[in-house]
Amino acid sequence: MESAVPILEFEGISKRFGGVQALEDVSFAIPRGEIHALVGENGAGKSTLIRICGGVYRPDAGSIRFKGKEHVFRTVHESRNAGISIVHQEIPICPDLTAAENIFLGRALPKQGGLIDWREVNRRTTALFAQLGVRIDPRAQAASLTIAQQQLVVIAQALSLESDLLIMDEPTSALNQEETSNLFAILRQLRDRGITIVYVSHRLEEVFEIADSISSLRDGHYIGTVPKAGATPDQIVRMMVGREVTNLFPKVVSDFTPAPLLRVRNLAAQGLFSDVSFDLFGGEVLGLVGLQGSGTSDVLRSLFGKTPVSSGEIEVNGKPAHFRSSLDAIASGIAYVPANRQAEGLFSTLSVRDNGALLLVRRLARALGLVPLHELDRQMRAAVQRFSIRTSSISASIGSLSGGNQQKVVIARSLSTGPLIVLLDDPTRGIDVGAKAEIHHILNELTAAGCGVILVSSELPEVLAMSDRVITMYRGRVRGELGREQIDHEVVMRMATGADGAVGASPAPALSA
Amino acid sequence: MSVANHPPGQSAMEESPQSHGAMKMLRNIVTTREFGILAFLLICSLLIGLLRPTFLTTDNILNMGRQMAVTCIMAVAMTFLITAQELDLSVGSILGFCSMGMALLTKMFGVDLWISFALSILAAVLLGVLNGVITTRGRIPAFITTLGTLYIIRGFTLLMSPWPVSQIDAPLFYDVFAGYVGPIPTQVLWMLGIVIVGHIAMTRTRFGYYVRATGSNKSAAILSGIPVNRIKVLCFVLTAVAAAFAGGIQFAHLGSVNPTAGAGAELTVIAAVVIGGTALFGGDGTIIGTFLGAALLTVIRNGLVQLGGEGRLQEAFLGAIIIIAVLIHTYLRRTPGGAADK
Repeated sequence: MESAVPILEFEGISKRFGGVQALEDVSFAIPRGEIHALVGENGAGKSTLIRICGGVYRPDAGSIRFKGKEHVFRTVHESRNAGISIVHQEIPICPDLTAAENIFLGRALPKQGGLIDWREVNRRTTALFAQLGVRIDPRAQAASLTIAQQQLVVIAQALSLESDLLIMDEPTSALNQEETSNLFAILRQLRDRGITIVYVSHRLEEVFEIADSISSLRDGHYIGTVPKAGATPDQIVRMMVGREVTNLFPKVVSDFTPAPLLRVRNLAAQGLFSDVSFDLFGGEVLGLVGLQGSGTSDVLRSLFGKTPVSSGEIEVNGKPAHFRSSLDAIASGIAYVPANRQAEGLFSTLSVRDNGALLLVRRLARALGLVPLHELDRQMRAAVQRFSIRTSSISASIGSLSGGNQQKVVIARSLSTGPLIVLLDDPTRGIDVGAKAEIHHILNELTAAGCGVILVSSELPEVLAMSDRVITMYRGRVRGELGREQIDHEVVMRMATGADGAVGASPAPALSA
Repeated sequence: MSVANHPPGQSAMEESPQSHGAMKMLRNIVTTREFGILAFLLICSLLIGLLRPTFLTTDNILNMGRQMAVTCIMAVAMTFLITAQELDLSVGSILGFCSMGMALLTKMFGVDLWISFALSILAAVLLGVLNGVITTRGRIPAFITTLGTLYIIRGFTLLMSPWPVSQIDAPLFYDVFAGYVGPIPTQVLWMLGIVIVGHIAMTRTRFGYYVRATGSNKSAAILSGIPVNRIKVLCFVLTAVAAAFAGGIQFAHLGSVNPTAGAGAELTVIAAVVIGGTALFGGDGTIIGTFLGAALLTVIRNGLVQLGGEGRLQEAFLGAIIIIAVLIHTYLRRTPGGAADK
């Protein structure tokens, strides 16, 4: 009778961040005692929903019933005390503490005579690990454990709290095949003991292996739940993608140059990707599609001399190229816009002009390294015009600009060298629709001018709409290549999630010329 | 803060009336980072001047200029180093080592003092490279590297000679580094020259750009093709050379050098830099601020002496000044208007 009540029910959950409706009227239930997969594209609202369960966010509307009782989780503690444990993608672990110390972090420790009884702590930790069927030394420093082991430490912590619900957000993104199957064995064992597991992922292969049923979110809406038995990957992909691709992305097709600007042959970087080969022609946007950890960003970084290449060849304009640093790549006519604007793009203490004109300094410098500031100002004002950068003045602090305008400054800097090959890693992440459209406009300008562009994006519709060709990657390898007329949301999604191999549907399409 | 670099005439050219342009210019000056420290310096000077009329005389001002030269010259170079997100605690030891070595070469081996001075500068280049390479190649904090070299270099200095060296005959050297041009001590001219060159280098040369970019965001700087390690090593060299140069000036002024010369100078130098408004986390340095910071330290020191204050109280006062100055900078950076156009 108890099992008839779902363990977790969402009713009309809505959440808005500024202008973005992250979740809208989401209602569904998760039955007790199963492994329930939650799927959806990036930005579908999965993480927001999880954070609401975990007491990180509070919904604008709607309610959560946990074990049949309505709850409002105001803090992480309240959610945890109720019996919900969440294992986030980034494992919250203190690297300098031992495994046991991490498990008992922030909780009452067994004491003896006013002092912590470490022997008892370690004994309890060993017991927890034994329950999971793993052997980890409770006294091992967390930093010395593998990612998989660290994850087990967090799972053991959840166990020690006697949680009824374990939510895992993309737990396998940093695990290899063997660690993944070990984790799955443990998850099944936990389920058989009556613990409900919500498994968030967009790797369909894994979802089909582990889940009992699958729920899907898209653009903040709940789409549906299907039992795994009887479901097909195609069906799930359609649930995830669904929408019609609107004309949000004004793609202009340009003519390709006859000879490739860039030839990449069997490129590999230790532990990141291998055997990557492709040509990039002038006038085209080549989309590189893959999930997080598939190696797409790493390929761009290797092409810019940032991530060392372990084998393979790069040719720029028919000449072999070896990039020891980004300076070499810039000198070869390559520009790069990094994915993480804050960490790698912006100089937060510098002005708009100094951020945007930094690469011009090398070229404009005169005797004694003197930089003609008026010339720098002139070029920067032109860039502000060209890229419609909205700023009070070019000497304003870069921090006073919106994210979209900051990004345009970073792009202006990269393009200021007059590159032939432009590598863009998620150039529109976290910026508003208007700035996005402007950046897409810049893409069209670049291809019209004969530049070759490689685009990586966390937003699949964007990369599909803006690309002339798409190469998909899965776990560090090229999965297939599609010409513009072949680009199809579902096909690409199947390839990028590894679902094409699992179902053995159509073989990877032949290379298009 | 680059607002100040913006030609004010340009905004006044627009249809707005003259008074508006002047207002804007005033606002620009008030919102620059250096304004807070400048105001503080002027207030302190006026207060002391009111209490002791001898304080604000030309003589005393020039005297203070001479007193601050050694600290200020090192602080200008240190500003580059701190802006590049590094630090040098060994400047005092380098000053001692280089001026001691210089004096001994001339005194014991009869080498011309100018050649000894040039050799001491060369030694400083090597010491700067040492500090820089250990820090960047070894990937350890500059705090540790230079804490170590602070002791090592001082140890060698004491080894060279436990006694002071004096009575070297080189009138031209003394004239150039501790003489007068009219009423103005040459130390003041050297200092002002170095401040001006430093300011231009920081704000409008490739090197200055790269130093600021390196300290602001090392990852982004590397992606922009900036050789960040080379830039940092260069800053270490600059700082060491400034210390050796300051050592030469100090020697010329005193006419002798002690094996403990420069001991503790690193703290005064760093104090001048942070009082001036350079961020200790890098990426944001001001040479003009450093100059004002060094001036403030000297005004307080000199003023307390003039006021007949207890000598031992000076230190406490200086400590308080450091904290107050940085509080002012932090406040100005946060205030809207002051912060928006940092």
